[in-house]
Amino acid sequence: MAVNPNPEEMQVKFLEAYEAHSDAIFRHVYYRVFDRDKAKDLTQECFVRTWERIVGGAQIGNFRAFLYRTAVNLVIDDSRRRKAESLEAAMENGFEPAVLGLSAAETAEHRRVVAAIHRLEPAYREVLLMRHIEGLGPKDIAAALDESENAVSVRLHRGMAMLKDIFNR
Amino acid sequence: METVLNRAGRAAESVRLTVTEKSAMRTALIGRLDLAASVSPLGRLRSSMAASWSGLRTALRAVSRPAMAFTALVGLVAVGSGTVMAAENSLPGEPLYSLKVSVTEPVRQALAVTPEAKARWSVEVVERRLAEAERLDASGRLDGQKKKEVESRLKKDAETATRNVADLGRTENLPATAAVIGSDLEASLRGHGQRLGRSKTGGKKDKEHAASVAAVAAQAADEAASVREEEEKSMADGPSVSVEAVRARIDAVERRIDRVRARLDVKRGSEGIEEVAEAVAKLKDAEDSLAAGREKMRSGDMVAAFSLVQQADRTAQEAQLIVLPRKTRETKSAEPKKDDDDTPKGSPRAGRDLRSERRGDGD
Repeated sequence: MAVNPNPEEMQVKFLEAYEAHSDAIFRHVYYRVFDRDKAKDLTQECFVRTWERIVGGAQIGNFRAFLYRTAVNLVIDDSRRRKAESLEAAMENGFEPAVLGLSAAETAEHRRVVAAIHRLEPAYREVLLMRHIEGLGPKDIAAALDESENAVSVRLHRGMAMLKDIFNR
Repeated sequence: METVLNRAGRAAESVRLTVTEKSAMRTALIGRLDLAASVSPLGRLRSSMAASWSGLRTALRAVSRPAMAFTALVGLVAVGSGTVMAAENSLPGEPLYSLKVSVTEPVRQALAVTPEAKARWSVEVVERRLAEAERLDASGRLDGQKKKEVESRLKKDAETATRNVADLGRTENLPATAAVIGSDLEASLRGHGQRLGRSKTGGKKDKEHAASVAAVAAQAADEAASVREEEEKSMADGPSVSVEAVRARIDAVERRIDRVRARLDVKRGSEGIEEVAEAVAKLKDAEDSLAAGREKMRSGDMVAAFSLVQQADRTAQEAQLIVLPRKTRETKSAEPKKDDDDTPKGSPRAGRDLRSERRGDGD
């Protein structure tokens, strides 16, 4: 089994990655599972799995991309384990995207945007959430999804067109 | 659609872990980490021998010296350099400690001729008291009697330092310089106080003693913070802090953050992963404050920028102290601390406030 040549250094890098990216990973998960406690659990699991990979000898150059890939896979696994709930159904059950400092009109718009994105097919939903809700650029999205930047850009363009259509209905 | 999405993205920024949640998750993660962190010696505290003799040489070359310093110098020459060096490393309860606090320290105090030098030296004295407390605690010798002595000296020396900083700001009209020195004092008291509060040495009584000293340090830190805040407020009333002064502080804090980070990467000895995680978190906070300070500088609010950069420096110092090894045999020297010298090149001379560098600042 490969071993990281400097485990203490990796430990520090891991902790730095936690400080730098835990909020972003939480946000990423939250906008997919619609449940704060579940989002926290999956965020923690994301970091635990990352650490386990480090201990197993994985050399992680780009922590952010690795964490996002892990989070994406965790959300997929989670949705397979339980009956996936639509955002609309979640909102009917009381879920509100926990944004702060918005007026009632702004909150309503935010819900509408998020609901519209969630009506897209998963491939388009994923890139649009990452681009517009989480603020990642095409290069970072490509690294996180392990795809080419070109493929991501094309999907963003097409997804935007579909989103406009859904939003304006 | 883009505008709507941009608004949605901005709104989503507030979706984040709370401070409590983040801390709880960090604690849970630490429990899962396999490796025991080990903290290697962080930056040597210098031998005082060179400092003592440097002070003596300076004194002998001086044109005039206060009588007290001369008497003390004679005393130092009489006892010899080896004894002086041993005294510099002594702790409360040891035979040479009285030589340290009654002879060598007053000599150094007398050599601090400017109000700025006096303020800086008095802060260094507080750091010595804090280091002594930690060394006593680390070696299991912080008994009830020594605890009383340590607390009494710490309280008195911290009051002196706070007063000197306040005088520098008010009487000498150097609020920016006073704010910097006051910030260092506050960071030392908080950082060392936190280390003592985390003491794992000995039994329940030992930990209580350490916690008691930590409480004294914390209170002194609060008092130092009040003075520092006053100085920062008075900066807002006077001429603006120069861009150069703010940039110089930013550079100094960046260097400190880099040094602390570099030391975090080195194999460590006795500190636990919790301390490393706390240091990492504090470094992140320091970087965030520094980034906010840069923003304020760019927007032209130099006083706010200065205050934020100071906050970054204090947090970085606290991170630095977290990873400082508990057992050190050396004490700090009187020479400028080359490892920790954050004084930027071209910084104002003693006695001139940081605000006074108005050359080329666009005013």
